[in-house]
Amino acid sequence: MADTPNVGIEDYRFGFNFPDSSVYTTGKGLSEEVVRQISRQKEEPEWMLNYRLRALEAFRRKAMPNWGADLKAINFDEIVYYARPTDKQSRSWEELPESIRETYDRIGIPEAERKFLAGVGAQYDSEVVYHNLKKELEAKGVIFSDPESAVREHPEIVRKYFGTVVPYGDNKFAALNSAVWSGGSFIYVPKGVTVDIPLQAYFRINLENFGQFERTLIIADEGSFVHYIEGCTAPVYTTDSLHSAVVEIIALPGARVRYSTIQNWSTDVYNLVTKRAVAHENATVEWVDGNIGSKRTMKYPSVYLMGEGAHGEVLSIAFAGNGQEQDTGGKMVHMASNTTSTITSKSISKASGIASYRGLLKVAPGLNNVKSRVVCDALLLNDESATNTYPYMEIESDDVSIEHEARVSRIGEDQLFYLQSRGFDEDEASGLIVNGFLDPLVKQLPMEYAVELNRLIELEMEGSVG
Amino acid sequence: MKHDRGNSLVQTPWSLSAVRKEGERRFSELEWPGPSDEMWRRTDVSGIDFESFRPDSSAVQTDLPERGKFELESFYTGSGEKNLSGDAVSTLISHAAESRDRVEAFHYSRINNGFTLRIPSGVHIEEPMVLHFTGGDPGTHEALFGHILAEENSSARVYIILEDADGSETLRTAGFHFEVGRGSSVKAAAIQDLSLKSKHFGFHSAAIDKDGQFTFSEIDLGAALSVSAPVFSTLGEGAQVDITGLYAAAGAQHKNLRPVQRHAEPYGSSNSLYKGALLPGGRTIFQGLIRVEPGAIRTDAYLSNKNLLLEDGARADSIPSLQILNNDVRCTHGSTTGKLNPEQVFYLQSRGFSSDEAKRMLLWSFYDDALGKLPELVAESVRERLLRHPIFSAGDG
Repeated sequence: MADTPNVGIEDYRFGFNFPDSSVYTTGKGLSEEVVRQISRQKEEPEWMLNYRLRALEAFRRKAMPNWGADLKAINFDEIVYYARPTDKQSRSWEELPESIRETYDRIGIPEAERKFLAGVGAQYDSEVVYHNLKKELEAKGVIFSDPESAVREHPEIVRKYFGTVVPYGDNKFAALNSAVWSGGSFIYVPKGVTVDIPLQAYFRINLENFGQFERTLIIADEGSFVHYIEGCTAPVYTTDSLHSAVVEIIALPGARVRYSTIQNWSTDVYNLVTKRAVAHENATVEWVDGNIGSKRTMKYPSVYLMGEGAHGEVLSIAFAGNGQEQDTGGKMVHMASNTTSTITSKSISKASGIASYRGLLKVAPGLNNVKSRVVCDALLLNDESATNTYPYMEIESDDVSIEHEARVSRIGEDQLFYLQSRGFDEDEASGLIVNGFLDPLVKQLPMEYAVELNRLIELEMEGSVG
Repeated sequence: MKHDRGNSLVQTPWSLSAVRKEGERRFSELEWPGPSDEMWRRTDVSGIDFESFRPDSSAVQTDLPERGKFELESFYTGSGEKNLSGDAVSTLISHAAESRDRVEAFHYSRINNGFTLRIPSGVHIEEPMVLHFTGGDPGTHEALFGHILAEENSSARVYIILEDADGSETLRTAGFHFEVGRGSSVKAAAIQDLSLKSKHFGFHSAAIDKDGQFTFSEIDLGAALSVSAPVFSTLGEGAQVDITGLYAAAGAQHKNLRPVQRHAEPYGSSNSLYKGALLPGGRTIFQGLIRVEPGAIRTDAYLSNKNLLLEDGARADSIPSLQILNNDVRCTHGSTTGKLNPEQVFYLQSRGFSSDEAKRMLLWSFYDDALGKLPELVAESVRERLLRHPIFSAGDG
């Protein structure tokens, strides 16, 4: 993260945007014609268009969730559902338009590139404009592309898995995404292949009132391993924008998939995301989910443990600053015997922020030897901060071991006093304590991300005690 | 009712009809709960024709010590229109007006039995008072209220038992409202041991004033369907609440327990432990909530739910929730669900106990800490009732 001068605490760190140079947009509002236009723009096959149209029907039919964060301010008619920034897919950095390159420069993508991170699928508006896949990955047979290319080039894989983990009728926002999805990532890792460097993509909203509906599909074939990193920053706008992604992961027998996100949308974005994974026999799926930005986030990464020996993990970090509502958590659905899962959630509420843990732990009937542990810790920084915990546990087998714990606390006066006695001022001391509180989760992130997260938390913590 | 009325405590000449009227008003504002209501999502009451149960009630059987030190008044269908005390009227009307759903409003609109109990300031009653409601005929609805007022620096023990005839099907709605005054101590128990065909809906509440102590045992053994949504509020600094829940579900029993520990004032503490065992067919839903209001600093609250699944085919949902609206608190909750430890069963068998005996012993030990928290008289009664419950008596136990 490069230094950004002249930014106050309440200002957004990446609060800049460039004139909208999108070549094509569908305009505001959603209709069957808009969906057809999107599909036409992407030169999609008939089956994908039909899928989108069925999803649109489901979106119209589905009710808004009557629980969770307050979503009343979303006006679906004011949202632009599709915009295309540049006409052709770039393969190298130099080919990118100047304004887009400058935006990326400020987030630090070239830096990440220099650090020899794998292919960078960077998203500017809704089209993947820059895509650089490392040669050695291609040689191993790993497919890492935007989903549009995958629909064209690998229809046999996409048709087999697309929409199987998150059906279009799953919930209102999954239906919306299925109807108007654009951009995202498609990853296929062949049998036995280990991808040793994390694949990552940066997403960025850069059009006022423009909702981003990316779609990610990850298939890890038998015995393979992949770590995917999703990170996002968005410029500040005066009106609310909507981000509604769908992520589907299929971990075939013996595969391991780790998906890390640090969500740092600006504080006017509604972030309503459906993330779900299926873990087959002896497969492992891990979600590392950090939520720092956005106005409202509703996101519960889940793992369906379908085969014996499967293991699921969710590590969730939420930071709810002034005016923010982080409604996050995780879901574990045990559908097979000898499966294990853990959910660890750490949340921090500052000023008027509300951090809610909402999770589900489900054990289907007739299973043996299922173990699960759910731990939620909440830290409240100010007297108007709030936190909620809603851990749903539905247990239908007797041969289980289920544990759940939750704790709510504030920064201990004795801890503060101790650090102050060692020469830290109150801000520094509370920053240290918060970092210590998050440490078990931050350790799970790749180093660049851990550093970035620590900096973000420090930034958020400035002036929070008093 | 055989006991004497003490000095008249009636301040406002209002009768129960004012409460019923408020209940009817609230009833007309609400719809019957359906699957889209979060609190009723897991308990389907759409098949119950509430209004088909004919209102009926019978006199309470009491076992009362130290008569003359307190004031007890009973109201039932046969007791005629009598006036309630002003305190009871205002409590009942406000609960009726704030009914959370139509089932609760229905309860207030049909109130046909109940009692008011006042422990005057400074009075301490050592011996427990036992009130035993045996309900009406099969097919009837008894809507029961209780208003228990412990004035400043008083103490009492109140145990309420709900039963009906074995094998009969009745609808029983009940709301016992405790008001614990400054520095007072109330120990109470509500034992629901209805027939396995009956339906039970509980709307109990407790408001605990400064330095008051309230100990409550909620025992839920009977009924085909039992929903209990008590709210325990600390309204003064230093108020303390200690709740023990004990339940069992077997056969087609369905239980939905959702206690709320609500802290409205600083320096309150609350602690709850709910334990339940299930046999195949049994279904329990525990949705406990700790809610700490913005001003209630230095709150210390704990909520714990433990479920024991004795065999496959039962289902225990556990949703221990927290809503914390200020930062100077210590709130924790925990939940565990599991089965009998096979190694322990094996150990006991190796010592000569049969498999059944071993399981029963381990089941007793599961309930032991909850039973240990009950007052002696209640614990004894609950042990006997547990032995009659299918969880101990049915199948191979």
